[in-house]
Amino acid sequence: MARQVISAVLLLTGAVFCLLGAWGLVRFPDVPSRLHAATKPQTVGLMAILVGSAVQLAPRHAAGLLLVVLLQLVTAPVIAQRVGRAAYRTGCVRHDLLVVDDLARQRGRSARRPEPPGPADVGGAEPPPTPGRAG
Amino acid sequence: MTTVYTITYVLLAAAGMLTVGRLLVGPTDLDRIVALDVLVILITAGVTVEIGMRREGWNIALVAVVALLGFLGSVTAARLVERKGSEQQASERHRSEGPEPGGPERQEPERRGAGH
Amino acid sequence: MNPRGEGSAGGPGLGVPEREPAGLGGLGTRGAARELLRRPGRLVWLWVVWMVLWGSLTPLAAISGLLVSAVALLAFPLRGGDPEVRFRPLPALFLTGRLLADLVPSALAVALQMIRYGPRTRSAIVEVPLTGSSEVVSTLTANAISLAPGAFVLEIDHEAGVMYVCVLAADDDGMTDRVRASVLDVHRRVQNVFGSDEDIRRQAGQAGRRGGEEQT
Repeated sequence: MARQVISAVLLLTGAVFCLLGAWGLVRFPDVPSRLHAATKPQTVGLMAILVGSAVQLAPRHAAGLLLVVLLQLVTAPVIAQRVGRAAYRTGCVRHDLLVVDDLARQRGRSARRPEPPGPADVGGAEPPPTPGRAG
Repeated sequence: MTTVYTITYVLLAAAGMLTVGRLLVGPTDLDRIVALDVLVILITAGVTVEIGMRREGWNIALVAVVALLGFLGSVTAARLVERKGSEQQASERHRSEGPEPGGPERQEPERRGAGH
Repeated sequence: MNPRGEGSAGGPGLGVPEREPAGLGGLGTRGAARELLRRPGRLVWLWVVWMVLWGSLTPLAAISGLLVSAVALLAFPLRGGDPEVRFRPLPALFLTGRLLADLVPSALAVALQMIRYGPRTRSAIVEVPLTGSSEVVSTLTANAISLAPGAFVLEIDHEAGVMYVCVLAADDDGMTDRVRASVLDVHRRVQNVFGSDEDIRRQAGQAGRRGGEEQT
């Protein structure tokens, strides 16, 4: 019984986090911020769901699921890094939304800023983000 | 417990639809890579819920393999985009400012190191 | 506080672009085999993963696991490990616990930002100086921080000993300093686990001067 309750709580929490992550993917304005949504809430969500299911299983199967948890913990940051770096290098970062950009100062080409202000705003119901103060 | 599984599936499906939306809209390849990666995670989650529901563990290895392949795919695609993007940028710069000696991309590491 | 000078001195060969010049860069099969015998730990790790995946302890699974692990290590030899890298189990436990504990709050923080600001969310790219450490330590730090305080690394400049991390920006002024502090905190924890003895000694020295650091 207790096992069922733990499993239910973890499954629902995990699903909510997964939904939050996916929602962030839609709502955030540029690649780096979307990456934040894709790494943290998604990882927490997947972990909760994996553990929630593992609770229901025999130990030898549960070990396999915990392995997947480990895998996710190791791979998510790597993806974030690779994609984030590619985003910055190919100019997919919206410089008008950056509060601080130490990297631009450091890079030689920052003076010229060859990158366009970023890709056009994503469709959807959202109004175009204003470069003004966020509030 | 059945309601729990139903709610979980509904939430995951909603997440999946949002993710597919981002996959279709883009606007850049990197957005799509991120969306695909999240989609793989959501599928992993969905299959795991099924595994827990049926108490059958035989396809856990499959889940691990899918997760690993998703990771490899994302990283490879990101590398590809980065390479393509830097080539494009280089050629655009060549067009707009004339060729720089040595090629702008080649010089980057030294410049980064030299700053400050 | 300007540890950059130390940074380049502390960790030779940190550069990502330049691979190790000589030695273990391109191992032949025989080199790979020697490497395998020198570090059987890697084989054991792969084998354990294989066994966990199979979920049963049949002799067939055990033997095939050993074979597959050996073939994988021979086909894709890793460069020889950094002799400076240690592993300390107790700090490792602390690090893992801390990471797991921080993971949920950081996920909630991202969700909160998304709900409050949505498409007006702003980011920041912050420069973090890393006190000299091996490539392994900085890589692991980079991995850890993208989960826990929620900052992924855009670039690591090994020569200058600087890392550029991208975070979702908060509105107040102290943001940059707080990001730096939390990244350095994780870095210190990773050093406690994997860092060289010299790293630990340097940390002890810094802890003595902690008061002065606060003023910056």
